[in-house]
Amino acid sequence: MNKEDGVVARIFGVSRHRLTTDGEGVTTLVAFNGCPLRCKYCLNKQSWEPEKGRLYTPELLFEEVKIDQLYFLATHGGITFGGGEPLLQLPFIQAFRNLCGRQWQIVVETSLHVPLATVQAIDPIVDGYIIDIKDMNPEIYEAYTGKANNIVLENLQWLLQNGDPDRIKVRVPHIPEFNTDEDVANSIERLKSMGVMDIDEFHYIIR
Amino acid sequence: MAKGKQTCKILKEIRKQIAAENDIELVVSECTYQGDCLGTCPKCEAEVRYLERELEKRQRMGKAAVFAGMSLGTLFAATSCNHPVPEPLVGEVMHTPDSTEMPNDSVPIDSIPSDAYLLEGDVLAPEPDTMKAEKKKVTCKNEEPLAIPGDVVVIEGIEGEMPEIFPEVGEVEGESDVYQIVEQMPEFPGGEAELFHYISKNIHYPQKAREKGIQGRVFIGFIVEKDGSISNVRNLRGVDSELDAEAIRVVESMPRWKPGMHRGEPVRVSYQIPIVFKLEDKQD
Repeated sequence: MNKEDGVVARIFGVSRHRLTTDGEGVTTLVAFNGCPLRCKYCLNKQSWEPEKGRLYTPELLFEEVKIDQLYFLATHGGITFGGGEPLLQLPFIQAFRNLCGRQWQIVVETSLHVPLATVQAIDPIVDGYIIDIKDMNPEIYEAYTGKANNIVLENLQWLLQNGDPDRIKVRVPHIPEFNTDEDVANSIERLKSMGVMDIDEFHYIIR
Repeated sequence: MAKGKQTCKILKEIRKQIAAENDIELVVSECTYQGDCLGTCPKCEAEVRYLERELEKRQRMGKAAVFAGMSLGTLFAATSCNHPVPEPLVGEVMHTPDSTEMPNDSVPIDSIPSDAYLLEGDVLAPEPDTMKAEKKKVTCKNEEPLAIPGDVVVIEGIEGEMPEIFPEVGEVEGESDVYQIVEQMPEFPGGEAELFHYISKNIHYPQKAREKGIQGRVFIGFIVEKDGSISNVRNLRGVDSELDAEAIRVVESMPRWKPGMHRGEPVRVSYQIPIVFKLEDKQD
């Protein structure tokens, strides 16, 4: 129990029975509040507000999501932590891993916009990464997110050099008003040259 | 196809495969509900809990649970014979900017306004119908009752097998605030084994019924109240007036249970117990 060391996090949504959306098996998506980025087209802007969402301990979350343990074990599924930026919740995810054991798959959907030490600390306990890279061009990235991307590239480089590239999926969006098809092609080319093997190119669609 | 149907079919297929791989008898009936759903319902959840209990039993006997590693791709194919290309699932939005976007089937969190899952910003996924933030309440009234794979077996002087108790599926007449499945189900003090021992120890085979050679299975329904007390004990399906009365008497005499809990609050939960009266030297 982590009541003693006070590990808690605000979570604004828990979605059960996601099939092939976030991983290979049946998964439950857990969305944390809190994000360092301010993307113009963010679909979960409620995650920006630190006081929104329900306060959870790792134990409370585990009790809530273990209702689907049988599905997780049978399909090689588990929990996908998203948000918001899940890597801001390192102690929470570490405590959760201790509770659920190694049989559940834990995937993080992340911008990697966190200190390298955080990535190094979480790497041993996660099974997969879904990385929203935005755009590899620093100017485009900063225009869209409000932050520089050098830390993202350093973290991705470290993961590729120190981990298993099979665990990494990188999502590359076409972002209206911010990047062009050529920019996206350049991002993909650069990612391939870095050693990324699983690249998901997709489009933001503006109403 | 109604929203949730594909998810329901796939989850059901997973349950069937788990049962088959672990030699568990699981009787599933086709869901007759036609509308949109979340892909699961109290009946589906009860089947999962049943499988968990059966697996635990097997583990206590030294048998490891078998999970052969099911492929969801295969299950998609197996459950969508009329739809070679899987339909978008409830909550699954294709080609969106962020796959962690919270779908409309998210577990509601009390502190969030009811419209909190509505999408914000200017982005729209190509399947707008999948992105409504309606909260749909699903009930499974009038469906077939769950198969009961085991009973409290009462044989004179002989202890029977472990009981199987099930949350009752179906409406309890006049009881609108009674739950069937909750996050933490109520529990007899000491668990199911103690419940069995309690009934075995306290029930008596009625003399007249024994003399007449009457035996059979009595289904007793009851409610575990918020304080753990037992109420609304009733005969759901009887055999003989004396056997029925004895079964009701013992269930009514049970000590307080640990109440069911849902979202941190004690709640009323409906249960049923099958009790088999069987004479030692009489065959079915």
